[in-house]
Amino acid sequence: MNMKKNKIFILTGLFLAVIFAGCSDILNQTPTDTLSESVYFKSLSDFQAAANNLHTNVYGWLGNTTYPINFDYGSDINPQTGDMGSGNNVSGTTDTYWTQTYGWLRSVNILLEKASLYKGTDNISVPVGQAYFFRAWHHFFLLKRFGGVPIVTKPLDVTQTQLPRNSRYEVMAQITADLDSAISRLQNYTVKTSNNDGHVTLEAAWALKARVCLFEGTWEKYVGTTTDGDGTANGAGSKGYSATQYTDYLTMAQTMARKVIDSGNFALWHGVEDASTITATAPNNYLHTSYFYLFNLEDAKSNPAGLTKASNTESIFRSVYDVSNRPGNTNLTHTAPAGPTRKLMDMFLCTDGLPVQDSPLFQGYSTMASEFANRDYRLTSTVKLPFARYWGYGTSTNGGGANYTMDIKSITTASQVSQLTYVPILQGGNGYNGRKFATENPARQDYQESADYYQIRLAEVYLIYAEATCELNSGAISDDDLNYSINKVRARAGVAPLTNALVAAHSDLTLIGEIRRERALELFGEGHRITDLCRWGIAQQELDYASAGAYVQYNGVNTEYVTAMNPFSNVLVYNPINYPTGFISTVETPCSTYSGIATLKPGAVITEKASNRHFALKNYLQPLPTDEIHLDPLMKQNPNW
Amino acid sequence: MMQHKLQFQREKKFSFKKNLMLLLLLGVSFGAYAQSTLIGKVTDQKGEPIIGASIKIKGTNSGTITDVSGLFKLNSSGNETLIISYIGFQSQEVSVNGKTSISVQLNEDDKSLDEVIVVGYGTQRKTSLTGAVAQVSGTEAINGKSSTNVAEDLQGVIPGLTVTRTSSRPGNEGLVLKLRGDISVNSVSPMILIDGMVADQAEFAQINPDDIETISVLKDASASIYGTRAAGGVILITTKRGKEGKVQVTYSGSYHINTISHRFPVANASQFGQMDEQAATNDAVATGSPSYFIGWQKSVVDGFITGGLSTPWGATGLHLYPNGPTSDQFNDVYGDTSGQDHSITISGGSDKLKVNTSLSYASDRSLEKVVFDGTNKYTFRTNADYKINKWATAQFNISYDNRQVSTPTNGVGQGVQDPFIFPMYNPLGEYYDQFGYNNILAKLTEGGTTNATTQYLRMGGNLKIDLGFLLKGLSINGNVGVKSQNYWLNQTNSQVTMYDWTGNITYQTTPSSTNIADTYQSNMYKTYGAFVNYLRSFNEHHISLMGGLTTEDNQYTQLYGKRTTMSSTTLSDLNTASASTATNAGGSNEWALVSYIARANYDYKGIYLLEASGRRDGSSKLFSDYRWKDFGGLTGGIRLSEMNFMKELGIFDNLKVRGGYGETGSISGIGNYDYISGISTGTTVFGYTGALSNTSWVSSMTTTQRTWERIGNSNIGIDFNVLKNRLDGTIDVYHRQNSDMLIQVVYPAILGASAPYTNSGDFNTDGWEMAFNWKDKIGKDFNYNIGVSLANSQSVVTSYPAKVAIAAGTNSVVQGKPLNAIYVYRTDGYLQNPAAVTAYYPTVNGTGSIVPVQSSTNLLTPGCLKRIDLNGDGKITTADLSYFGDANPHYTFGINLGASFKGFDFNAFLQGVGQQYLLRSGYLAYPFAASWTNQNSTFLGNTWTAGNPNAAFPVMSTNGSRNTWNYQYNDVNIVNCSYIRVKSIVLGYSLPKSVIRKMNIDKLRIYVSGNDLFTLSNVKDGFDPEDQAAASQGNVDVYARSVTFGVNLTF
Repeated sequence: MNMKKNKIFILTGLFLAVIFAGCSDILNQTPTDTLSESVYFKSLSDFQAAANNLHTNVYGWLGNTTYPINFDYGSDINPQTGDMGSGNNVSGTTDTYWTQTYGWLRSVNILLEKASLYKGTDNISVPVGQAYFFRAWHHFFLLKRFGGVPIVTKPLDVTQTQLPRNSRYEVMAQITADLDSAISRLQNYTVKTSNNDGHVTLEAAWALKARVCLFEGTWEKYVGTTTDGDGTANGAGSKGYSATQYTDYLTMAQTMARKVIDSGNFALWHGVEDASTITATAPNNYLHTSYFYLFNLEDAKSNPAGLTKASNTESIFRSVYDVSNRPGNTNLTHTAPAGPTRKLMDMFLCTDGLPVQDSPLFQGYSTMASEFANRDYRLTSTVKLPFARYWGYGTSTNGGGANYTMDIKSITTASQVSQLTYVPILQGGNGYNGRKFATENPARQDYQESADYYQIRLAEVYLIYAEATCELNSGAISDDDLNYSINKVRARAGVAPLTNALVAAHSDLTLIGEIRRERALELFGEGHRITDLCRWGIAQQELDYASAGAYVQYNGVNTEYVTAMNPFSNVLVYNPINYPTGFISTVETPCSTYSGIATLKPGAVITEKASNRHFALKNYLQPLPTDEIHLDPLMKQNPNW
Repeated sequence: MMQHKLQFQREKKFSFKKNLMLLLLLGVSFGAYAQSTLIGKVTDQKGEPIIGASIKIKGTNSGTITDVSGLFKLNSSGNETLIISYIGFQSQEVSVNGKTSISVQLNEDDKSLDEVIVVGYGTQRKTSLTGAVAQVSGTEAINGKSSTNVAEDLQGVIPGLTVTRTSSRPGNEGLVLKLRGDISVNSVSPMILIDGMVADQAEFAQINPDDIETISVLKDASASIYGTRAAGGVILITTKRGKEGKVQVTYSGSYHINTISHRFPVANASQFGQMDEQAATNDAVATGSPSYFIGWQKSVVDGFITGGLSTPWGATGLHLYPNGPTSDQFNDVYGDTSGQDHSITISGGSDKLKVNTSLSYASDRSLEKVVFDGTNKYTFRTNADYKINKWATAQFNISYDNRQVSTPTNGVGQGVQDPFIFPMYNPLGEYYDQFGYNNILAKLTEGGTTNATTQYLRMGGNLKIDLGFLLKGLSINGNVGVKSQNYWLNQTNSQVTMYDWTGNITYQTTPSSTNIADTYQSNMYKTYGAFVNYLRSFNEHHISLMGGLTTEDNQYTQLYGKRTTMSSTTLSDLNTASASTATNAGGSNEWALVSYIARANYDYKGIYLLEASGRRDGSSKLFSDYRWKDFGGLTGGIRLSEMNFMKELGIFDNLKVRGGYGETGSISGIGNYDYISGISTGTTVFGYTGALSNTSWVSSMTTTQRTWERIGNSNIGIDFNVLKNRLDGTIDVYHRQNSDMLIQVVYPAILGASAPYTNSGDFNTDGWEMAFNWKDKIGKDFNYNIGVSLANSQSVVTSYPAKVAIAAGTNSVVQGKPLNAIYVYRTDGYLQNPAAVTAYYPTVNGTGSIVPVQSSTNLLTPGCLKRIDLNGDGKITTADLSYFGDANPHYTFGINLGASFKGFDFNAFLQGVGQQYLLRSGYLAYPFAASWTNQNSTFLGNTWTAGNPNAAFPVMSTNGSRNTWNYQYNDVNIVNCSYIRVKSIVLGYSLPKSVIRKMNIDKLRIYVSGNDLFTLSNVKDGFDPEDQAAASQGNVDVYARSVTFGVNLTF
């Protein structure tokens, strides 16, 4: 019995020993597959990685939610509907642009806070300068969309989130201060030293400052405080406003644009210009299409000159994409997001530098192709020419992608011809098909388009210079200044230079009007149009005209659109039943407050009635998400929302 | 730690041998005292012999079992008492009294009263239970159902346990188990334990149904013993163990056929034409002239209606050709499929060693007839019980489950919503798609396969040592459990090719988009526990005490690899794709939980019952200052039927009232290391070559200041048996309160991050459950029973700081309302004519109104709903939304009908939901919700027209604004998904013993059963009542019904 008892005690003892041996520190676990904040931000490479992440926190090819912002949807020059431009939107409970941007600002502020605590010896001024750049970038995005917003310059904790709005003037002061901080830290970090690899450089900071200052300078000049609200009942108020500040901003815009231009590091891309640069068989098919191929520039298969992204020195700041490692994930080619309205079609100048109503070179609208003759090269780079042949994309879509070793005009296989030929359709749309941003790369399918997204490019800087100069001089600008800036852009478009003489000869034209026109044409679909119209104080007029499409009658006679058949299906191109609002009848209708832009003449199909458009002064600023107002009583809604 | 354990096991083995020897010797010496031979026969109530019944001489280990004729022989001294027992029968004690032959008739077990109920860390008699615990046997749960997934079989079986599924695809059922409704905004699931070891839901779905002895559900304070993990209640699964007696071999096998129970409500050409025609006509009121789908001419649409024209999407561009075939995509994809399962169990043993071993195979697949979409499952289990010696017993379990879920990588559920103008094949027999990438057959058959294999290897041991020599009633026991879970996912995305009408390729996956990806995940879960038990009676006072300690630890690792550009369409190994494109990823984590456990039971005379339990838990997922918390419960009951005054009444065979309060906890929603601020890393591209650069960011906001959610469970219940035990019932009423709910308080977005979870919310749930069973017999041979159960629960989010604006539709959380609160606009019929429209606008069109703009083609037309301006401010805004109800299932019920006559048995099980609101979303939710898909034909003929002014649905339109106004977020748009479904009907026949005995077979039963045969439901938009998913491409499933033919054989 004693033996047995001993055995029991031994077993029991062992038993308990095992159990209690295991419990000691098992509850103290630490992550095994990630880093902890407490051991990070200790070296330059840590800060660089954090700054690299900030470069991904900007809107680029990010998917459908960004369409309205990126492509001028709902504006007067893109027929795609967009509530923001038509003035039909109502205040929502949330706003992804608000939430996302403040999320991105938090990442910026964390980096800057870690930098202020950094005790190491590495020189971290470049990533820190980039962080300042992005803090300005995000506040500027919010300023454009909402007006004055709460300025956030540190990572908030949950007890600090009830902030009032800062006025737009305070936000601007913060933006310019942050840009100055960026510029001072990026002094030695230029496109040359960074191999122009897509990182924020000194020149990018200059260019952003030019853009911001032109925006606010013209806004304060033309819109003033009318959208500010009183800051107590509604809006962000006008604290810090000075009636003369706008000239400082315009001067700064001019100065910064000049710094970028004079740096000599950038040039407009002329990659696919004339037979000497085009390596493809039948180069004449591609003459003067640089403007088209610039926006789908990828590998050598993406254009008939066999050029790659490395050939591009026009971009000042861009978001870099790569089909394998960072595809665009946006269905660009299939959806052709940047198509023109009637208004935009007529805004393109003839090669003599004159608009369609003034130029003797303009060929009218009787045939589908007639209006494309003798025009700005950008017209055919932006809009498809009826019955011309275009490569599809991918292995098979619309006949398959480009084979530059073959003359597309020489193809005779019936099924291929039918797929490659662009046949316009007037079945409810406006009859025009946009090309900008589309690819013809045979190695790309839907959502794989991966050209870089140009955040700021040299053409805009030229236009900033011209506009700021003209605004500073009460609508005057010298031919020298025009040649220094805007005429570089017009030269690529094959349009005669803008001169004081040209404008003087036509009473419907003004210098500022032509500079603004150039901006609309060159930057079409790049997300500037609606805010441009707002800062010029003319959005509520420009955006509320009817929108029209192709002419089915011209001078009282049916045009080719009415008689044309689709040769491949023997169906009429035009079906009137799809145009319940009919077409512009009897009288010419203006579509702009600027007399230099052609009126809508009888016979253009109406795609959107004027009565459907309700853009008003309140729409200059978007409504704050109502959830935010509920959560933060200090925050007041923009006026009249 | 592990080393210790191994040593420990070696020690045990060593001692087993010696003691077994000792016992064997003892057994022999008992035999030597025998004096004469006793012959006996054991029969059942019908006089049929019972084979394998155990005969034991009381007070000894000596005994025997009956042979195939029910006979036994035994050496007897003439004055022993025999204990005769057999599974399913009440044991009997018989005194030999000098007889040399005896005959014993055993009565079938009436287990309703004396049933052993499995509870946390032990068992109890049903009579002495004080908590709300429901138990069903494995047989009751799976009765005749073709599903090889026990979790799914539990639908409607246990009152208070709701089982919802989103699909009937085997392996992808989307099952959600919920006990007594919600108790937190975080998804709190019931804790599942298989033989005491924590299991995840997949494991439950994977276990061999034939292995299950009982499923026990702890609903109230009875779950407090599981402390922090029991907020969602506890489901205890006990597997079958070997029984003393002869070795029995049981085979169960069945074959079943799945057929379509519910067709998808998509329109054919004629129906589509009629809908398009109606919509165009209605919209012409707003636009001036009719406009047809994708610019069709009226003549084309008329052609669809009359059947004269039927056109596939054209061969060239966007144009249409007449007289092409139309498509029946549904029948091209879905059809009859079949499945089968086989299970063999070998069971038996002596008083010293009892073993139960099973092997099974099952396969089942969905209705996708063109490819295999389903599961293959293999299981093995051995449970062994050792009686080592007088004071030590041990149990060991080992089981291995392997389940492979195979499914096509692309195309599941897609495409059947494309319009009929997209046939699956062109005239050349190739997969046809002119536009986009939507040929479902091409995707299903060519697009690659996803195989997910999950293996569980479970090993558990339990050793119990009786320390009665120290203190009577004292024992200790300890257990160890190891579970190795391996998950392997192999996924191929192969090249898919589609053609146009004339045979040109319109879509082909680029080679560089094809890929193979493997994911390997491994979980190593270890648990061990040690317990001290004390069980003693002092006169009429019965005391039972238990205390212990358990530790759990889980280590997780994963490995991921991917290569693109496949070299073969059939090979799925990583090596067969391009090595230069390889990418990979890892991942690992570990968590641990340490718990101290105590329980005390006391009863006086079996009348007054009391139980107290407590638990102290510490988790590695919480910061050390907030890590340890105590949970406890107290329950009690009175068996009124045992009191003299009640006995005199003679009404109740059993009557017990019971009640209690207990706390349980949860940290669901808290990650393994959430209190530690992490750095996330990634990559992005700079330069011209696609070269990657590192990126990093602070992962998310964190806090150290949080702890467990704490749920108080109050329960009052009553159990009764009346009418000579023919009717029994249970009624429970409960209140549950979560006072430390973990929520992410919503702060202004300028914070720039989601707030970390903090214990900042409150949540209440009230509910009740009842179950009644009637069983009786008519005549000698006809037995029948009827069982009904019904339950409901209602939740309220009582405190949710930082109120968020209420949105139209289903709001996951609204303070003061249940989870998934539905807010809609109230409506007052239709605008019947243009004058009504004109009159309506000025009353609701103030600034900020969401009424479609009157001066646009979107304007309201006759047949549109008239939303009510509830707050009377002259406009319709979100301020006019009103609460309608919640989207949770209510009044869930089950009805069980059983009967047997001679060899025949019949069982039917009906299950349903009394109320469940849904706002349908997706492309088929209403007509022309999306312009490019086919349409839901259910609406045809049921929408408003001037001639049908009181139609069920508003006007048919293709206008998005009008459709949003009419078909989203209105009271009349709510679907009540209530239903009653015949879940199973079983008809079986057992061959008479007189016949099968000649074949040396103990039991042979054949049966046929039907699953999901009929459904009655309130759903009027053409969907299955269980189909809660958005009716969108890729989200839909066709529900199956099945017919099973099966056999049960025991020998």
